[in-house]
Amino acid sequence: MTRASQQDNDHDPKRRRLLRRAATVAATTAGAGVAAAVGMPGAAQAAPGDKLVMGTTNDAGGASTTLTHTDSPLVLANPAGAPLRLVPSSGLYPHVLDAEAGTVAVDDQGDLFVRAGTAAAPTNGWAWTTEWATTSVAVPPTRVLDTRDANLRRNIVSGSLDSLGRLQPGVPVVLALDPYVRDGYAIKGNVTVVGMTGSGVLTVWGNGAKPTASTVNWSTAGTILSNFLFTKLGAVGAYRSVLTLQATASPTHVIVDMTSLLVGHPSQVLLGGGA
Amino acid sequence: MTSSEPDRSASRRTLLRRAAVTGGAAVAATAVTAANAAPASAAPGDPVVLGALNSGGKTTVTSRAGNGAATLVVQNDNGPALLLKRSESKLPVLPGSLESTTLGLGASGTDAGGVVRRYETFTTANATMLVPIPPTRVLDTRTAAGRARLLEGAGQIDSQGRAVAGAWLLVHLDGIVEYGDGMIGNVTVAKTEKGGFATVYGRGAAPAASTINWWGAGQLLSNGVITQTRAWSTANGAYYPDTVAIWVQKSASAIILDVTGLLVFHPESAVINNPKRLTADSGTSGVRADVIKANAERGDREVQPRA
Repeated sequence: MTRASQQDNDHDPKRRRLLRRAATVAATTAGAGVAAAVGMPGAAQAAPGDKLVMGTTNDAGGASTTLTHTDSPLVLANPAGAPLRLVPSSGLYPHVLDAEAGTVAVDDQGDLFVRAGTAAAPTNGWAWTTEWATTSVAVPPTRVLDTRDANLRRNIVSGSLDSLGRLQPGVPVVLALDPYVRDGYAIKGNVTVVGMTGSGVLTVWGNGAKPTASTVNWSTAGTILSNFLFTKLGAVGAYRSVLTLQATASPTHVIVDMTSLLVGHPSQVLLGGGA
Repeated sequence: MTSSEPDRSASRRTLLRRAAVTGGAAVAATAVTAANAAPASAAPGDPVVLGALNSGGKTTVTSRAGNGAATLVVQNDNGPALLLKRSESKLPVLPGSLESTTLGLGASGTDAGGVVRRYETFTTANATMLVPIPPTRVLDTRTAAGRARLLEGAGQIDSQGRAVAGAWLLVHLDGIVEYGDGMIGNVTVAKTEKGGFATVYGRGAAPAASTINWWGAGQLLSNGVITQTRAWSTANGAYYPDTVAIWVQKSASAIILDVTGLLVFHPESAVINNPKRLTADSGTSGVRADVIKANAERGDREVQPRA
């Protein structure tokens, strides 16, 4: 059993950087021109009514340029990079909230604004990105902890059990799920208690101080009880996806079966079910 | 139980009207229709004319722009850069196609079998997501501190700290979520009087369903819960956009409710331990916060101006 560092790391920034890398890379070239700049903007300028000149900056002033065709009026290709860049604008709001359905724009926070709905019931929204959205990924039921079985105690990276392998009252145990998920947000599954000596409580949380909350409660020895589990994952030392478990009042064996992971992108899931 | 249902339609209209008035007509909008585009027009084979309607041909632009440059850069400092006119066409699409849809934005890609498929993009207007939070106790009827969030039912607690049989408890989630859609967590019963059950729910009338059941006296049991949230206005006019109801039936029991996750339209609605919350500068001048709230408006929920 490896002991984890006691230092808690900030969980989010590294995740965000990771996800940013995974997300579509935004172009950084300073393109100018209300209408279009094809490739790297050059010195030539075009005004409204002028022809669009390839490879230059073309400024349509206050007018819009419309391309219509019955089948994909505009096709863009770039084998070396992004075909299209919408330059982020800080002047979007609030005018854009009343724009025509179909309007898309990148705002000053880098989010993709989408105007949709119908004329009678328009909607404004922002497309989900891996920067801030979460998604649940179902996985085959996987037993990640069974304190009755030495092999199924292998994911414990911190804390000690009693001589029978049970959680000891007041002693937190840290379980690393890094073999199953990379920088996961949360776990869904089932937690079971068995082998207790009296009434007690089990609390499961991510990392840090034990919260005033409970996951499973029992009133007497000799019971077997299960409960659904949805818990935020934490980070401890080098471990980026951990659960902390602590019994109160009574020792108990604990079994954790994982059925789903909450992540920013399915590729973070490292076992069956992830993309 | 007391309730005054806010006029959700009026509130939403007010919000949208405010945005419209502030913005006025879109300034130099890229979004124009063919009718108000400049009269000049280009035909197939002609150059594309700036600021004009160009119809009749498919225009393909290719480049090998690298180092982060794009083939086409579209910029409008005064408004949106791109308008995709909605098409009712059901023709096959090619990978990479972007389309305006009623729900939001359609994108096309190739699946694992090589078949090109249309997908709908999730947006804050058409989908909800789960956001985990540190386990947070929002109700424990056994203590006065644990009852601090009760908006209804405080008078239905017996001397042992149990909700009496038939009690209807309403818990607010202020400081935890703003304009969310639901919550996920754990409900526990303790010191049960006799067999009974409790139902945790959000919007609408009390459902014919149970969240946790017990069969005798002196029991201590827990169960997972996922439920909608609801808005609530108290008799003195205080407004709570996110509350959860618990109906205790057949038996007195202490009730404990712990929240471990929130179902939201945008993670900024999860305000617990979140420095970037809806009431702060969420998006330019907080506009995004208002829109997220408006999107969260369902059933009996009123959108309140940002603080």
